Amino acid sequence: MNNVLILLSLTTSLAVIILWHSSRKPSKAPRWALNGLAVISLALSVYTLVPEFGWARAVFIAFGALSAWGCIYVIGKAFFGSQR
Amino acid sequence: MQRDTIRKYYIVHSWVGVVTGILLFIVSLTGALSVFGHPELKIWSHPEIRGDINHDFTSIDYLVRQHAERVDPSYLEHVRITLPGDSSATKLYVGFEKDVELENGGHEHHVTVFSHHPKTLDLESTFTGNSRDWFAQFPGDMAQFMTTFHADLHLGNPLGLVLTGLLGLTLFASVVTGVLIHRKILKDLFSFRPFRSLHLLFTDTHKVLGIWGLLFHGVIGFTGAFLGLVLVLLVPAAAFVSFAGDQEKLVETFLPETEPALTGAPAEPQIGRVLTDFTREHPGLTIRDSTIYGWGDSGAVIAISTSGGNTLSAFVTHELNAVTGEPLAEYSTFGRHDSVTGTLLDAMYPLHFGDFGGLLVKIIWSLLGVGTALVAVTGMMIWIERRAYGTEGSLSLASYHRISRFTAGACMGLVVASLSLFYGQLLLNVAPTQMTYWLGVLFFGSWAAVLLFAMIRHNSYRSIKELFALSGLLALGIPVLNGIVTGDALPLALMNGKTVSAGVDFTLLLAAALCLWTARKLPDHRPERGRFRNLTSGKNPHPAEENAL
Repeated sequence: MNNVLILLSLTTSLAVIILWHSSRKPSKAPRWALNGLAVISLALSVYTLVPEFGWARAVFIAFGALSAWGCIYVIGKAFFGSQR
Repeated sequence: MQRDTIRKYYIVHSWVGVVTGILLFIVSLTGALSVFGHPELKIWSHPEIRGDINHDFTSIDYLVRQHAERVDPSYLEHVRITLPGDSSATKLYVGFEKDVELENGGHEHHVTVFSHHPKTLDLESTFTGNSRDWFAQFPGDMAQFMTTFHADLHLGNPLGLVLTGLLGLTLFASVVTGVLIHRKILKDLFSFRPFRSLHLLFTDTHKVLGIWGLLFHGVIGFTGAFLGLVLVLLVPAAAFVSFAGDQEKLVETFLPETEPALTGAPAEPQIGRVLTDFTREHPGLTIRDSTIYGWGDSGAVIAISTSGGNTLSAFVTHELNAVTGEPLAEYSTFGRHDSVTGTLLDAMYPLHFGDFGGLLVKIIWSLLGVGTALVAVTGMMIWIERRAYGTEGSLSLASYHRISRFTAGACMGLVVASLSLFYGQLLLNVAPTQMTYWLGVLFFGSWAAVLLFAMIRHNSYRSIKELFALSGLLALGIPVLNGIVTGDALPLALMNGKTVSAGVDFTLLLAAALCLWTARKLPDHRPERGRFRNLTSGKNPHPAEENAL
């Protein structure tokens, strides 16, 4: 269960980053997929408040996932994206 | 904020960074590896604990009872069972402990420990003596070497711990001053232009990794400072303020020993049944060790120390009646004091090492740790670039080149030295107690050799390129050598359920691919005016970026 939750956290972090990036300039990214991931992000945020999981832990997992994906996304896009 | 104030913060940020940059790189990179020190690298280092170890608690119970009949009854104060495998222990240890009063009024902890093979449970050795000698004869390995180097740079207590603690503080200070001087944080979040110029490659890498990992760097800096300074400064200071300088009293208050409610009625502890039931009821927990207090009494308590629970605490202890298995208490390391202080103290270690959410969180923490190391080294390179090719320098160009070569040699040398530890672990055929010494010779020897190589080469671009290629080849060779020496080649390890060993080998293959790809992409000379003309699509840099050179 923990790993599923952390994978969800990773996925939704990436979605938030892509949404954020695409909101800064026109993007061809499929909006429905990103919006879907954003909904999962919201559900995850609610779930992280469940005491059984330990909300303090979830907060740190979420920010860690966001930080890691942010670095990987921005650097990876420069190396493997179409724009240089 | 006024321009002058920002300028002052900038000066503090750049000088704190340049003075501590290489050390920060060293501690961050070894920290990224140390995240997997226990148990992953420990298991990789010891082929005998690779693969699933099914703990046969009935047999263990039988062994403990046999030993308990043989040892002096005074040793039955504490009976400790340490399970091999995920707990990082390489054998099954059954220890009997007692406190001995010394003539000078002091105490000494005496132990009798029976060491059993982790899988066959055959008795391999017996030790009797004080606990200090017991820990001193423990065999060293590369996992222990790496984690100790991260903690105190092998300089020991207090020098090493104070140094790493202060490095944590300087990292925290760099994060704060970095935020204060950076007025376009959100704008720079997605700005990464590696192919435009050397200067932009360094500044964008520094900013992107620094900003995205901002909270991580802050947490690592703060918890690192705490863990480094807690034993040397914080405990003595707290004891001085609250316990009239009595440090033992402070430790007893925060970490009280388990006191069983003895009944006087004799009863045999049911270790096998209690541990089997506990494992069935808590399948997600890893048992590190179990200690029985009050052996032979119906009120005896078994304290089971576990990791892997759903808390922001590295370890949780479950106390049960050792005869009936009735749960009595459950607490984290500092959790017996129901206070915010206890919660904060518990969180320090897991937050620093990412040990609070399983393997995935460890991977995230390790990647971000590499990011911290890159922030440190790119900060150094920006400092050198601005002085060697900008207007800020006061030394000769040759002097800045020497600093650049030293930085490259020290940083790449650490990568090569860390990889050499894997070779040492597989190939060194020395007495277990001599292992740490020879690993040190190999580690510091290869580091010094790379540093010397980088210093005598005039073209640091070519030497960095070559050292990346060397690191890639070294990383590539480890899984091959592991297959030859231990027989656990990657496919075989996977088929035999040795997932940890296979995971380490697979990670090394990924690291090898990354290093070789980087070596291929890096220029072997300084690009003309610092620009990567050949790597872009033939276009010149934007005029605004050209001005930044």
